Amino acid sequence: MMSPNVRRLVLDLSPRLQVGIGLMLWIISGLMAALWMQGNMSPNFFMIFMTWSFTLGVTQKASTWRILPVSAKDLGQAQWWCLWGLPFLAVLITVGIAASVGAGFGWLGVSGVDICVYAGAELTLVFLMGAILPVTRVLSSTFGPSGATTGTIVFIVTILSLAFRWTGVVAFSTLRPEILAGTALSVTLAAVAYGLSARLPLALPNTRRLKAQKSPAPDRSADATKSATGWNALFRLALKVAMTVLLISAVVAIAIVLACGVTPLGETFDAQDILQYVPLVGTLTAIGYVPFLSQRVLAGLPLSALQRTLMLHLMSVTTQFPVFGAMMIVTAIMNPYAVNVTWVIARCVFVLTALSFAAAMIPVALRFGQKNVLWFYGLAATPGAFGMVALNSLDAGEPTWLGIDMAYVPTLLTLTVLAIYGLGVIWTYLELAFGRAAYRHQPLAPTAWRGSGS
Amino acid sequence: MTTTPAIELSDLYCKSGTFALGPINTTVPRGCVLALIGPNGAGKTTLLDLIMGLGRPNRGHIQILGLSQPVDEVAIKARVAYVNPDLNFNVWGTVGRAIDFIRGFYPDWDAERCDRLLKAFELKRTDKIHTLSFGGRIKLSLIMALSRAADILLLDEPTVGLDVNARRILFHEILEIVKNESRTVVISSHQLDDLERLADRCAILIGGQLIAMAPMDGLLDRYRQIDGLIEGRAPTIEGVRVLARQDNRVRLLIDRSLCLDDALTGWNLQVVADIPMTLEDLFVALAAHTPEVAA
Repeated sequence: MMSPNVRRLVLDLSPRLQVGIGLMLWIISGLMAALWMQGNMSPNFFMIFMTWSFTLGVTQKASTWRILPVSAKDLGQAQWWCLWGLPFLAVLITVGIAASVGAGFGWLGVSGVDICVYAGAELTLVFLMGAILPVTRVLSSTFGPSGATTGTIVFIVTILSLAFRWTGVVAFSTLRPEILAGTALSVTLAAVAYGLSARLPLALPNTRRLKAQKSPAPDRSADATKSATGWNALFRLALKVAMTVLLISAVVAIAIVLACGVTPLGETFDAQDILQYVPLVGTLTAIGYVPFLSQRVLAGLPLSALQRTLMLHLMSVTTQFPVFGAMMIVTAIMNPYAVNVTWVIARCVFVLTALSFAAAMIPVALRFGQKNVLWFYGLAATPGAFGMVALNSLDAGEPTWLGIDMAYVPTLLTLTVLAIYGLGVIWTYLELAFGRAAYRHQPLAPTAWRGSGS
Repeated sequence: MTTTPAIELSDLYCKSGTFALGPINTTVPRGCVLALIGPNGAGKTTLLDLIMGLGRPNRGHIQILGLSQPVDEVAIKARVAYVNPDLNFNVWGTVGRAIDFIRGFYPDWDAERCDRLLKAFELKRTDKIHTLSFGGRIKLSLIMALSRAADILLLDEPTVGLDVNARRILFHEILEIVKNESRTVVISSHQLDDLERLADRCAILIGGQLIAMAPMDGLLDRYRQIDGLIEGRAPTIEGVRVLARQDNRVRLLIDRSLCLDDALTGWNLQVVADIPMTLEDLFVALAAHTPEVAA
């Protein structure tokens, strides 16, 4: 079935952590499937996370696969097995075991047709995810590291949206026209992505290095004596950075547009609105955090801590607003009857939440490092979801939330998130100015030869 | 011993964006250490990638050990070892796991040699790759390449980040490899003094064009650098290049294959000093005046 080389590539259990998490999620997914079959109608999106965990390592390994003496056919087969083959098997095994155990113990609460639809939905999700995965590679190869970051975000959003929608359809049997339209759109996008992946396989040669040598830079030694720390320099730099950020934002905006197509927001989705807010707030937060990746570069510039603080947060806001704008337009188009003052207020609070979380992530990353900021990102989901519940209640027109009159809820939430935002900015300044991990401002080196004064 | 060249490039041309590599026509014989030098962005990595089959040229043919790229890509990759600073083994976690994964693909893997290299480069199988320094990661790539009996080693910037001891070990290993006259090493590096001592052939790539490819001694003998005093304008003879001029003092680079020594006699030139050329001097001189030299 597999040649020895394909077997080596497919059964290579690396990276260990991701494979371990994938196995854990597989078990949880099996339990969820069993619960669903018992009659507990809750959506199961653990399978998609399992597949994600298993397959994400493939993109990391693909560049090394290229140097191995393995034919293109074998590479293609290994890629197929990693992206689709093994996850398909995992789904079928999970559903099969759950159904067998359920039938054996006599607590099967769904029909055989329902189980087939359930398995079909899971398999479709797995297929779509494998098809979308190469998009991150394409974006990475086209836009470099920022493309990789945005590509990952696009990937997460799309997968989450697909997962919520599909599992929602299956679990709640809410087959409405807009869901079908969103699904059709997502399938079309996945098909396009699949086409791209066929043209640009994961083991694509890296062509970013193939760049012409630039003409030598003009002599700017005379400029070195000028002050580069003025506010004009700051805003010139901010403009350049903003242009780059806008480019990224354009990509992300497209992703959000697509994601919104898959996950239309509005009053028509009652019970599941919460599930749709969380990934979108999470996405906006992650997008707002992207400018922090340039912190190391900013740290090398002759800017004060205050200037760098403002620049980081300015960039964060600049990145989020076009995305938010695009999202508002698309959601308004998708659900024109849902647009009213409450709808707009809910989404304004919602984007403020994302802004404040992103603002808080920056000093957390400065203090605890970029790896640990992910823990904060995960933990922030809890209070974030709490806020989302409030917005959901607002959307649903409920009179009170936790005993508070709904008229005060938007104000209360706005003040809370603004406070978080302000604290985030102040903490950033403190970290940059006095923090132990801060890159301290260094004065420019003198522009004369050493010892020339003697 | 077979006479098939190690590498044979004919009409090789690769374009990407505004950058074009080639056309290149050249042959690398077996059993040599070829130094591939050139300024940043000259196309060295691109050329090595094309030879390894990691990219596709727009036109031309690449023959490796008599095998054709990309038709015999797998057979070529089995006989060629490749080192590049961009190779990333992080995903395998530890040095040992990365080695165990890679060795499965090569029947000619020499486990004893691998262990010896690990010890020499002061790496342990349990070392976590993401904690290695940049030099440590290069060492791991080198171990992967040197632990096999590959017929050709393509080493792209193998000395970047290496300490002096590691560099010496690398050069010792390369010399051991080329004791076998059928094995070939191609090194791209900016450490020109090291290459001058180690390599027996040199290829100079500038702006995507291969402007020189010759035995190292022959290449250095071919060019002469002189300081002289001259009245009036500098000589405009084919093969003579003015590297610097201050008043009536000039520094000239003379390509002896194009300009004989007595060709300068009619130019009222008084030679003050004949400066011995190093590879670095030659590189700087050629890199500064590419178009005319290429002509």
